[in-house]
Amino acid sequence: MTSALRSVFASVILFTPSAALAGLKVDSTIAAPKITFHANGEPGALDIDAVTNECTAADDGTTLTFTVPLGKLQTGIELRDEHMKDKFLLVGTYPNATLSFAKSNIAWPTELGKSAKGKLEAQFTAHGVTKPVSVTYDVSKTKQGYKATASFGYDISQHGIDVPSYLGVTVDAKQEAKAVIYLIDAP
Amino acid sequence: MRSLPALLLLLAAGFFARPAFAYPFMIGHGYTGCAQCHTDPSGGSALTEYGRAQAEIFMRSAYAPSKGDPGRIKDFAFGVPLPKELQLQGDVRGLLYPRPTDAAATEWTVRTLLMQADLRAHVKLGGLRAYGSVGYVSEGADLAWITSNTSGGNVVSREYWVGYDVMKGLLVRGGRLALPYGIRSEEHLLYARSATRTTTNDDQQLGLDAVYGRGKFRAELMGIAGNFQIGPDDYRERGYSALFAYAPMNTLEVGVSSLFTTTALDYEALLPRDRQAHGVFARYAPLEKVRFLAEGHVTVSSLDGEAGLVGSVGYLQVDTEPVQGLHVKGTGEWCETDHADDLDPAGRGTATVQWFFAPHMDVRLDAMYGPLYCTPGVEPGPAATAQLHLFL
Amino acid sequence: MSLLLAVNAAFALSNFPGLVQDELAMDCAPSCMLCHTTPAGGAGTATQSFADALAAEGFSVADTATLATALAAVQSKGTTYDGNGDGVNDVDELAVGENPNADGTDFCPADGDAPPTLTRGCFAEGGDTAAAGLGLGLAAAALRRARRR
Repeated sequence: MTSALRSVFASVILFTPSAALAGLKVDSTIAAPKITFHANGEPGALDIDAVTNECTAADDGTTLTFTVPLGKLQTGIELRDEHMKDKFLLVGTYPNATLSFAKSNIAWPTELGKSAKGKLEAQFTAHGVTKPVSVTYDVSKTKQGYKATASFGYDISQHGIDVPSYLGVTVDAKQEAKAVIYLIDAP
Repeated sequence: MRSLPALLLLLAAGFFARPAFAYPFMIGHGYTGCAQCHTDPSGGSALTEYGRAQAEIFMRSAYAPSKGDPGRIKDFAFGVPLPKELQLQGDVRGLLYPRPTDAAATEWTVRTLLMQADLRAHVKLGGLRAYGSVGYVSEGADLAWITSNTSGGNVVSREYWVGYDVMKGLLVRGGRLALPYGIRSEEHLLYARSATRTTTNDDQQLGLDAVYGRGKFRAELMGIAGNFQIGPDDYRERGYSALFAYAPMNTLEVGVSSLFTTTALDYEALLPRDRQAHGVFARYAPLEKVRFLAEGHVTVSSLDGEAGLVGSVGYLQVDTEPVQGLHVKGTGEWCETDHADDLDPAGRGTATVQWFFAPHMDVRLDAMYGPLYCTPGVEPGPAATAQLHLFL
Repeated sequence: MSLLLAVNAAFALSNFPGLVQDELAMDCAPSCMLCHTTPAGGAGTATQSFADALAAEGFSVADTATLATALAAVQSKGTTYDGNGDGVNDVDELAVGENPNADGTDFCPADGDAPPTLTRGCFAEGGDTAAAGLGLGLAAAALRRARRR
């Protein structure tokens, strides 16, 4: 290979970072993913976290899609978990929530310890309805791959989910999702 | 002056009257605020319908698999239908405690006492709210008397107020209110409550109050106009009491409190008195069934214009729930009224078992070692009590 | 050995000052310092000489009925009970508003500037029925107004 050709090849590799990530997968060997759906409510200082450690990633080279099964969400109160899943989220019909975005929206860091931060537009699907969301992310390079931290706001009423209310206690429709996920670049 | 060696602390039953039940250990279930379960957004007082449901679902012992919604048993008097605008609640609490029958304490008996028989009502019509309580005590709760029987039982009214929900999360009200200070709980003998005069037994005052709770924050500020159930006016305290709390996560809450009152004639010292307390508090549940409650306060008491006596008071309590409904607690407390004096601070350790054994009922056993009130320098002694509580 | 009785802070405004005042027909109710070494009273601080005198004559804080008999018994024994050594019986001294303990401030000053007696309850003399009535009136007016809307 001539030096000129090597330079071109190197440039292609350097300036098309997505192409260098063959297929990102969730890496649970370092730590399980932590996905939190956070809601406030009223009356008073109502603060609810619905948490799960289950999440998978699908990477087709262009689009990265995270899928969270909702059947294992826990809020700390069993009856509330049952109501949430059976009466509002209808996980029997809509078992997953997904978040998809173009991989090229992130300048994936290549140097260990370096990070990339910013906002990107993504598509959030819940309860069979897809809406655009703005995701704030922080991706840092680890030995095995990446650590990704992200959050975004969403409105459950826009996804056709009834606003939960039980005996005078009502959850806000506008909520926030947060995630901490370790990714590995699988061949 | 002869000293009286301590054999045992004799507990005057009337001072165990606990009119409001507020359970700060609910932080273990992710409840950093109180307004979901209590008609008073800062806790205590009558329960909301939601609070009654939570009491039935996960506060009491479960003897069969949960069927989900608790049903009518959670309601007033085990199922009496009420309009949704109205919450009613009755509380009856009895106490057993040992007491000597002679001055030399050679013979003992176990005394029973009706500590509390209260009826409470809360009405909500749109943004307008009203609350009141009336009850009877056979002894104690002097500062909440309605009648004036100095040799026996009295009708009491501890709280009554009218308020308006100005906006989401903000309630403004006026009336006789529990002072917003520290962690509100049923344990009115805690030094942190009795030394700061912020118990829910009878330390409520008349005043104007704004209480806010939304998201991770809650706060309350009260202007104190005085206790108008004592007289004359010389004895009434004026001032403020306030707290601010933040919950960085739903199993941790930290907060600060501040209190100042002034009176022309303090009912204990019979002198003009300025009284302050400022401190911090925290509730933390590292596990759902293990909760820590802690408070620490600086107190300043200035009598008759003299330089203030600086003291401190606080406690650490751990509450565990090995099986649902059964609480095993340990509490360590200290109290010092004047750090400049030579007396050792008052210290007390208490072991408690509290069992919510049936719908609307709980029983509580306390074994303690230490002075009953904040009395530095006093030789400690053991004591024990048993309580049965029923709420309708 | 004597029993340490948990006379606690709340007893400072409980029956005893008023009972002593009534029993001895005093001009004012004595403060907690009659028996206690602190203005606020409290468990274990009832160590004044007058407290010892009452205890010696059978007074028990757990039974207020023993107060009258103990006071009478102390009074009947002359200078046997003279806490401040001034040659006057403790109860005789207390009955005229003076402090029978050593180094104690008199309870009912001779110039009549005694602190007013604390009253408890809305209907006691010096109490305030206005607050109770005000509270109830405000609540009723607010509810009537809400129903009209």
